[in-house]
Amino acid sequence: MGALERRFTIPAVLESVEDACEFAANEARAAGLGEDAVYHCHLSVEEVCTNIIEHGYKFQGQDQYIEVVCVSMPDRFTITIIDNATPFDPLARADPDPAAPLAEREGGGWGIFFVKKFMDSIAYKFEANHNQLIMEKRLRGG
Amino acid sequence: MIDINVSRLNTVTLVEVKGRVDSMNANQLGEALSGEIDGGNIQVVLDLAQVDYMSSAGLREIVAALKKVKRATGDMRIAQPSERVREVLEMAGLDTIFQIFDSKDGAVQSY
Repeated sequence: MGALERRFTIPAVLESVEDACEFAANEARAAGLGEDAVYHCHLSVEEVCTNIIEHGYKFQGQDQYIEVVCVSMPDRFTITIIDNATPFDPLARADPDPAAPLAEREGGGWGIFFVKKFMDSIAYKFEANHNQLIMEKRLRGG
Repeated sequence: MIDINVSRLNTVTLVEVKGRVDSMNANQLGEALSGEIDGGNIQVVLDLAQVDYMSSAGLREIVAALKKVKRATGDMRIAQPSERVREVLEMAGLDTIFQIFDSKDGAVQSY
């Protein structure tokens, strides 16, 4: 059995993020992931898309797009989030510190931190003039 | 979509949230909490029993609200977070920053 690929595109605005999340969650479910893993995919897509809209497009992405590509394979499920904002590797930033006291918490950085925790792997590349963040969940018994 | 219900129990302000707190609506929660604190209601209980999803946007708002209420010499305590909300609170180390109670009554009576 080969890979099954499906794509979904949203305008780069917060109001559309839930559509991208629903798409990825439905694809994850169809790929055979359990409900906890589906939830992890949903939350990860929200965090990544929100990050792109906020930091990549500076909330000015009305005429820009974010593409979500889900690929289902026998042993794994991948979600690739593609945007054409300025090249930016969100994985290069240091993780926030869970032990930091309240006064030292600036509020940012937790989204990608959660993605790293929730997904089995995450990678970034800049290719064909686009940022691409590839997240993977392994399928048991694949 | 989230519903936010605010009620008073003696000196305590109970903020009950229902729904998914995400990047699209987290600011609503932040504004509600900020409004209460600005109004002098600084003994706050945030009841998250009916919230089964909270992303980092939601955490950012509750941390900002906690900072604000602490500056006003008050506190905001969390009651009965769902398993998934508790998980993200713990991952972010917020279970040591917030007082978290298993029951709404316990949180209210802690003041």
